[in-house]
Amino acid sequence: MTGFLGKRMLWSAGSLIGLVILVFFMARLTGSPADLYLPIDAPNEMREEFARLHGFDLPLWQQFANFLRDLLVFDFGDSLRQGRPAVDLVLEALPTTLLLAFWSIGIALMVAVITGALAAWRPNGIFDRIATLLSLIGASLPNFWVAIVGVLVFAVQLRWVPTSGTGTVVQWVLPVAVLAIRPCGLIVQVARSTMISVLSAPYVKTAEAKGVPRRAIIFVHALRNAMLPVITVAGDQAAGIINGAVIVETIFGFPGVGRLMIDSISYRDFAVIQAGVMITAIAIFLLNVLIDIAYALLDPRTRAA
Amino acid sequence: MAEPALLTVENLSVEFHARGKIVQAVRNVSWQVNRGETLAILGESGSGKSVSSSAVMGLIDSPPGHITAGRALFQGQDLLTLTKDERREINGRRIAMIFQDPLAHLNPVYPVGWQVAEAMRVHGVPPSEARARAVALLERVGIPHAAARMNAYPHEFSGGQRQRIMIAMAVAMKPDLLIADEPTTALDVTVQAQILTLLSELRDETGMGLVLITHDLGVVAQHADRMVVMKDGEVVETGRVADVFRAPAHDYTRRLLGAAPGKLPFRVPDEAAELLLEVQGLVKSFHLRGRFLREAAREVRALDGVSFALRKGETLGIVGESGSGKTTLARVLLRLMEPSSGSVRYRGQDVFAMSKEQVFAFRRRVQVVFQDPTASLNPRMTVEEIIGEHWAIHPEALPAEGRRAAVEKLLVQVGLDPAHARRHPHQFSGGQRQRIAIARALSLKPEVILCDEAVSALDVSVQAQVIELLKDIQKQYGLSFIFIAHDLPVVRDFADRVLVMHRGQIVEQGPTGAVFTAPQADYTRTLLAASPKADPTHRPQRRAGERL
Amino acid sequence: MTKARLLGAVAMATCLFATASQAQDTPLRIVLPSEPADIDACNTTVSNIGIIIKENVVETLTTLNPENSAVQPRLATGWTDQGNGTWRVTLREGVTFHDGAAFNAEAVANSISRLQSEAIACRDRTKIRGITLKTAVVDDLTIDITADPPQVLMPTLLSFIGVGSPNTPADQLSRAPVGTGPMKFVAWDAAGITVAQSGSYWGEKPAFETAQYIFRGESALRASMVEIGEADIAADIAPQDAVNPATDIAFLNGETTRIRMVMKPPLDDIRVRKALNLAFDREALVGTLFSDKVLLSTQHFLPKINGYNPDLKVWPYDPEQAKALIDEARAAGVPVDQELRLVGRIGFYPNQLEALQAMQQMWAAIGLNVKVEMMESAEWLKLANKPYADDRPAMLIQEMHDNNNGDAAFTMQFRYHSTGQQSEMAVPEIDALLDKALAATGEERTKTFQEANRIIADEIVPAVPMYHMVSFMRVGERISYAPNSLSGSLIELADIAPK
Repeated sequence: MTGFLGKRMLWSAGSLIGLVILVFFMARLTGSPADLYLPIDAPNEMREEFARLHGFDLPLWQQFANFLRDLLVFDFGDSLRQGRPAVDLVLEALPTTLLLAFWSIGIALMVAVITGALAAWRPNGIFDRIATLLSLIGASLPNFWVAIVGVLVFAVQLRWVPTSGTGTVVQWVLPVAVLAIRPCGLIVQVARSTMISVLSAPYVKTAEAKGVPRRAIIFVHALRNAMLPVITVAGDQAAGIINGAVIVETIFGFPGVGRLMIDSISYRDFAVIQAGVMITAIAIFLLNVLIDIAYALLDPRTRAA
Repeated sequence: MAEPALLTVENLSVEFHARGKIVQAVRNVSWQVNRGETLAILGESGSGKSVSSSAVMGLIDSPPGHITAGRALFQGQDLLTLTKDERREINGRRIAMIFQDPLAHLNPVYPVGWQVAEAMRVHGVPPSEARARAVALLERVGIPHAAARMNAYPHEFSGGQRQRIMIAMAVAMKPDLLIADEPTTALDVTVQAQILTLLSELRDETGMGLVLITHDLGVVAQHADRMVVMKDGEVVETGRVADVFRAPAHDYTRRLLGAAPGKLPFRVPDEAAELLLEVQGLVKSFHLRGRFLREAAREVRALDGVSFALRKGETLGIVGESGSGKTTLARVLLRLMEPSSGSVRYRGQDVFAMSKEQVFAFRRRVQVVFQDPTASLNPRMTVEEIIGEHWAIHPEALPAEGRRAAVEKLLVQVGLDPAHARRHPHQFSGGQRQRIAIARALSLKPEVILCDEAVSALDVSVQAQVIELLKDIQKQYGLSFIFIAHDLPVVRDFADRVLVMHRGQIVEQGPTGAVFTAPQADYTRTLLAASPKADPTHRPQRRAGERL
Repeated sequence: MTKARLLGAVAMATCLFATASQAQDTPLRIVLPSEPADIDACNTTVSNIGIIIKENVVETLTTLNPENSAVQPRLATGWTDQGNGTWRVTLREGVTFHDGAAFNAEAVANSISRLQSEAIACRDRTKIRGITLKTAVVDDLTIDITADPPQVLMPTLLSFIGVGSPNTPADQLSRAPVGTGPMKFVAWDAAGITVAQSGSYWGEKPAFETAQYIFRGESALRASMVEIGEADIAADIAPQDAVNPATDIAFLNGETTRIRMVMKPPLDDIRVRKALNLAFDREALVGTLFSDKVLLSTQHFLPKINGYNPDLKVWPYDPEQAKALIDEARAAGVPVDQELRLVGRIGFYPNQLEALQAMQQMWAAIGLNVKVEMMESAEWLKLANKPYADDRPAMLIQEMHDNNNGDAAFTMQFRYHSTGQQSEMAVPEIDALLDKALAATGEERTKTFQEANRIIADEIVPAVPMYHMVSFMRVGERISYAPNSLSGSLIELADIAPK
């Protein structure tokens, strides 16, 4: 296990560093952020002073050298906007995003797998057709539209949930639901089609010959075999949310990584952009490790490899 | 036996609806099986031999299959009209079934102990008792260290062991009837014999009826009491095995019996012929990485010092079971893989020291026909393109204008209609596809054709025809064949000399007659004994009480 | 099915509980579009910072009347010009900071020096750019502030100076300001910024015990929050969300829009510049793409600003004459067919893209080749500020400018003087007038600015004036608040009362 993790980490470390370097240069190619932090009518002397204060007047290679030096001690520098260490900002935002990802993908998975399995029970039956239609709609609806409509219907009209905010559990209902819709739709599709193909597998015949009841054939024999592609899709969706469910975070006022990154990019807050990219990449690396572990747990044949 | 039959299938007809067409899978089929006896249902592919059993077990999916007529009477019930609950009472408890490919038929993600115990749990046995009985069952079917291996997964067992596990699952609830659908077709010959003997023993112990579905005459002759012969969905002959073999009533049965190998005299090798291929001390090792925390890395020798020679015009048969190294040998001979040590010389030249041009020429001289014609023919190409591809690669062999005529000539030679040159492989039967592959191999006028289990996937009668074809073209062109097979009977009538391989080594080598009549090595003897002979009068005596 | 019902019941119960507790002494909740980076006392002129802390947590020395820009006392009660750039300022008695420190001349001196410190980038400093302020403490409640160069508008300058506690760290911008205002800072967390009554305020206490500032980027959501009672005031909601006349108030927000012209060919020809103005049907966009409350503008600041020339007329809509001018210019060899980029800046105002497209079509109708382009802030700023690229082509640049500081100086210097950071002009006559006005006071100042304005509007035509813009605010039914032209950057909690 350690050998496996170690090798993965080495590979990922390489890409991580490459990524951060790329972001470093690309961000700085857009010019000095001074203009964004100072009012329009700020005089040039102020801009120059701002640049000097934050090291943007140095030649690019020197900025890079400083950056690498600081990187070795995991110092990403301070946020331009807030003057606090960039890493702090990202680590404060990360739990919110991780929780959003966890809940929305978790709920989407549960609902979608059961729905997909039931749909595959009787392909082209009524349940299957309805489920397919709804899942296609769910996978196609744009996030922001669903979020706003959700707020207008459930918060404003029906007063079932508050509009936004993060404090209480009930405030998470709408954002998690909005985030879960698309993954749910996608996973229903995948689960359904994998289940249908698994249900025609020879070992299902064996189970029928043994007299195993239909429900157990679907939920015990077939489902576990169908889970691998489902996990892949779910993992992919989770990575997307960790990267930042920007729209949902903005609309519902969740102080997550997505919102932080968009703001940082708009404000050319280089330190936060770099720290954010690095930390998010690590989070996704860990997610992939989790998925690999899930694979190994689900399919004993992969454990031998 | 004066007892009423255990299962009687009466006038069963089943049809399948596919893409607007209706296919009669079986028509008016009737057979019965009694307690304590083995009924063999013999037929080639497409005969419908499995359909009636699937109908009995309720495994035919209702679209697209429909049971249009007939009954299956079992202990007073018509199995074709059961409700779902009644069906669950029968399946696994009173009638059980085992299938052809045990790896595909065992759920890969659950441990075998769990799966065997499930056969009992679904019929009401409490889980702890089911588990204990599962251990006992695995021991009975011959899985070593059964208790320790309860939590192992199907892929961790060999093919033979997997079939034993399936048998354990099937007999767990002591059913009255066991249906075995080609249970040994995917297994090595020696393992096949063990499995069939196991089934017969279990039958004797419990008094259950056994239905054995197979295409192998030898299996029928050695292990069945009564037989049913099927062709094109209909029963053409029934009767006691000894009677049918002695005096077959139907034409088709006669043809089948005639096609079984072992009737012709042995061929004699020509020691004076020119030496084409010389193999010396071939070794091929593979390094396997150890599994996490369980095994250290180890070296596996797929070929462990193999030496032999091939002369012009002769057929060399190479026989070995799985793991013998014959596939690796084929790859090395075709220069698809480099050996770890040893040499292969073709007409005196070291094959692995050849320049690119020399290799190119070598490939023209040594051609191959693979086992699975479906996989080795590109489904998107027409027959003409497939055969002609070789000329496209070796344009010096035949200029473009002559190609079409040459294709048609080849097709005629292999017994196909030249007008079909523009069809695609899927439009032909298995045997015909293999003929196309042979035509392709012939296109460059090679000196040696390596047949890697070329007839193993074919029906018996088709096998005989293809081997006849190979003999014809050998006579016509003076070709040499290296004929690789997994059991001995198939090479008996075709090979001049035979090599027997076991665990990477040649354990026996010699003219066919000598190997068959006076085998030197123990393994050869075992192999010969295991291959079921299509002669019911020569059954090995089953020693009462002995287990495998 | 039962599970969904259960969930619905739980949600309802929670909401009922929430709504019930609202009826009692709940904090005043104001929902704003963007969360500031800090709330330091030296940044009160930044609108998304001032709107929270200005005059609520941190007070300035003086304030400006929103109607007529008159300077009013706040922490400073009197000021006299001593000459030589020095003003003697008297400070209010009996004021303490929230941390107990005394408010005195020392504290003011400290704030002013911190404002100008190079260790931190105080944004209020841009308001006094080019000016160095030195202080001399006379006594506890008197301080001399000297400006170099001398500033006629010193009282206005005093309104930019927020006074924070002398204990405020001088090397870092604060996220927990300590000031003299009626509310003290309590917390800033994921839920927003909370302030509560300090208990020791020198003046009239606001009606609410606590106030909470919540941040939501989406306008429809802000509006919904007030609609269902989760907030009391939603600032800056989009016109399409301002559909309830009972709660939604439109007010002039002090911003003025115009299209600046980069005077390269063909825009260096005044006929073309006049034609652009004549071909723009200002009325057509009012009530459609722009709120019907916007005012057509004639110059780049509101009437309440000193220096506003009331005699200037709005450009008539006369496409015929515009076309004639263009033809005339074309005949004279001016390259009127050259492509003109019409550049907008994302986020200026709602429906900006549609408005620019409408203008483009109006100008295309008179034969001009205009292409619309939207830019991100950073890019736009590069275009708008000097130094300009040498090879700049003729361009039309959307601008929006707010001058809530009472005097034309805050607009005209950097837009029209040849040394101005965003000026396209180098006209000696204008330079002379502006230099004169900037040094003058009273009537003379006003008249000189007005004259400069007139020449610019009638004879130079450096831009296409558009509108004095409005913002929309949704005010909930349990409170009453009347927004004014400063409400985009200043909401005094003392002005909000429960109904």
